[in-house]
Amino acid sequence: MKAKDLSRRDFVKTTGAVGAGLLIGFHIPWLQGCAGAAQLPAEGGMQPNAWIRIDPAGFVHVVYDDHEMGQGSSTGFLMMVCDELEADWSKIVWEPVPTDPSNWVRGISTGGSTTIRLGWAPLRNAAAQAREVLREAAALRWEVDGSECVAKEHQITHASSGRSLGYGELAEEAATLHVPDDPPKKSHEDYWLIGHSTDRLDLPDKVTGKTEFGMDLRLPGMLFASVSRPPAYQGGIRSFDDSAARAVHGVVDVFEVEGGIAVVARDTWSAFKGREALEVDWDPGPFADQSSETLKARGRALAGQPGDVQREEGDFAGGIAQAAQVVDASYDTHFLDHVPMETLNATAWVRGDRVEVWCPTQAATSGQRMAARIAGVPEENVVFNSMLAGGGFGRRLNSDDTEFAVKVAMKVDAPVQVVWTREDTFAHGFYRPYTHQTMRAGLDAEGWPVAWLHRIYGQPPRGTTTGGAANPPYTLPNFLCDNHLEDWGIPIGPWRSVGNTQTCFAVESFMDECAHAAGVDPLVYKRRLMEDADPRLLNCVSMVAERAEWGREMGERQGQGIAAWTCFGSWGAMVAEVTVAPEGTVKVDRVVAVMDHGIIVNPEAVRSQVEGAIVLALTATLKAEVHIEKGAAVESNFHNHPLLTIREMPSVEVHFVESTEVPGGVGEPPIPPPPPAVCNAIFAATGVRIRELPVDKELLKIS
Amino acid sequence: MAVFNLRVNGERMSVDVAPEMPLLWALRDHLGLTGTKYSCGIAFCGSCTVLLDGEPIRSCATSVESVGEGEITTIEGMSKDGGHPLQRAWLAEQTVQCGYCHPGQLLQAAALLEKNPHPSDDEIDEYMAGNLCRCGTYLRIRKAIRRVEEGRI
Repeated sequence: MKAKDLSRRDFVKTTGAVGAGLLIGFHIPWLQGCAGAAQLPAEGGMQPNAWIRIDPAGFVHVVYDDHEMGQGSSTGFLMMVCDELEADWSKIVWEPVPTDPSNWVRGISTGGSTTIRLGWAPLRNAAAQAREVLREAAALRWEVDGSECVAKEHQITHASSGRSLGYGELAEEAATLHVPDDPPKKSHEDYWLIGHSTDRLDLPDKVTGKTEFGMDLRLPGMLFASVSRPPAYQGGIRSFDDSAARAVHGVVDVFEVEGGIAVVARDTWSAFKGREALEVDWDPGPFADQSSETLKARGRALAGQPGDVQREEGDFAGGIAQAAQVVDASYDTHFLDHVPMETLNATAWVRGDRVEVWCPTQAATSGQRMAARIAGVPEENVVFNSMLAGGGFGRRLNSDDTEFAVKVAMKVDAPVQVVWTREDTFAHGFYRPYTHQTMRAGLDAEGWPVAWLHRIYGQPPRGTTTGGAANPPYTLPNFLCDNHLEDWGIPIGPWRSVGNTQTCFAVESFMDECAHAAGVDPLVYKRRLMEDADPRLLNCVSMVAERAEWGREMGERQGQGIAAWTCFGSWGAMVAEVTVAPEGTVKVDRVVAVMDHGIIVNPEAVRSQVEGAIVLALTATLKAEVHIEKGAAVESNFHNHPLLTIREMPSVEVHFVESTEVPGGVGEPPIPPPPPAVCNAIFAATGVRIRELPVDKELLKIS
Repeated sequence: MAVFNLRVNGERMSVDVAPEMPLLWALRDHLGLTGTKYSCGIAFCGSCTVLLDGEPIRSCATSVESVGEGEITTIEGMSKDGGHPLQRAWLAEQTVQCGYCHPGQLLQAAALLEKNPHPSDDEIDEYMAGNLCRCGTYLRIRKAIRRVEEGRI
């Protein structure tokens, strides 16, 4: 049975015999409001949206709906099943994401660092249910008491008689038994797989080139297309001449679709060549005057005016009035593209009122809906194949890849793969939003905060722009967080750690500034203020200070900086060490991280995520920015939007807090701390405060 | 259009394409060898790296006609069933996340060790710096190369 055959319409019962072994259905909750998650009606309730099936040959099939895009959660997910079920790891089968999201109980969308933490409780319960009915089935067959039977290594054993039966042999009988709602779960010390590094299942094919990413799909008779779109946001097409494009060998058709001009060809390169040969008179659209500079000016202009209150506690103005010292600073973060290495793409095939889509996505439900809307067919007429993705980072939560593939496919009598160039991917991003953040703190005579303002100028939606600002991990009396949010027509979206990456930069830099204003070591200052507010973060901070030897002697123009943050159910603190060259170049020498993710299911995979998050965050600190000019992105490819390279890698040390608390998120929590840690280190090294990212080395030059 | 008889992974493969077509697209769209990846198209990221007579080249910026009789090695031809020491080392270090840049990373690393079986960290960094990885797997790439260099695989 394929995963796509499983749906709530087919399985009204959560368990039972389906002629193919034991089936346990269960429900994984869905994080409401998770970035990019499609809303579904409540009718789904607690109906199953995941299944464990043990077939008569003993293979354990796990059907669930999260996408793998390199984060490794698919392996962790299966490890939880295997351990609780006492199964053989080699017999666990990872099934593809369901292909009919409209027939699924929750919106299929992978984001918010949720796969493991939302799966943790229901998954282990379901695995325990399966284990218990298998044990019961063996006991019945042997006519012994269930308590005498032990589940271990994929079989049930009756110790005193020495008999044993494999899970496959018991699956059919187990399917006829009553399933306990809340069977006993294993205790932490009995885990033999959870918490033990396990090789990721997706990697062997990734080192041989066998892995089929979205762009690697090849179908008989398929065509390839490139879509030329207005460079400016919400711009349009006044007119175009396609005669040169049509003359390019391999081009089979050129036509306008809503929002672009499609060039369809026998291969990708011919489509690109044809598209380059188009002569288009673009309409610059309503935002042609928009630029990063105008936004910055607007942010500064509003900095002194109260905004919409996001959170208020106490009396900020009263607190400031009593302060012995007032500290002011403002911070800017710019638009950032996600830059997945696999550019956006999708393949679609429209035949009458049937549509099939193949897309490397994070959001199958919204992809299917997009395809149905564009094609004007019911959702269930769309077969949506979720392909492995070459990176996501939040970019593939938007279904514009599917959108253009279906638009083109509707006019082509063949499957067609629409490939975005790197330039397309930069030009039509859903960027991390620009922010101008105004900070003001009142300090008492000893230097401790008695009032705190965090004002954010940016673009709606609020969560994407301001996430994390309202609840910093500190005790801050007379707290006010307010916002000025204006729609500039520039597409923004969740970027790995959503909001927290901007707001942590401002809060953790400013806290460092306050510590210096108070004449207190930043570590001591932060520790005292988070003592009551966030004890788990305090623990990370204390650990990282020790591991990094905080305060150790550094050379000339070298320094240490510390930053910490709590988000997506995890806690993290990092110390960065930098050397600033006389010409202003910043070399990050070392990053020490302490993460508290609760229980860690697959430690080596999590370590890899944290290391990679640090790299992505260092690119955001030192290199990357998307400028807007004339309402369009300036950066277009890696020549003007560099990424950190292996040559610039610091030494990275990742430590985990030992924990028996429930698992927290992994992909996003390590993203926010590196930028402020690095900038605080730059201050320690040079006395220059960096308040805008990426770091401008001109500010750090010795003149 | 012209027919080119390429030597790819020890076999003769023929394509009928425009002479200036980048090798990348001939491999991917005409020969079905999709292990070689498109990412930037301007030879700035290394995802499309293949070996030409053992030298790493950016196939997105190398025309089919320029390849001539050169022997092309793609990730599909790096080994039978993933047995190349670097592929095994990549798994031993659990190097990969999304995996998209890694065919290029592996071939670049293979060329490095062919030329310089015992590179220093600086030499590794110098040779690998043109291969970008957005997931940030650089430290593990370095460790995996080191593993092979030290014969620990």
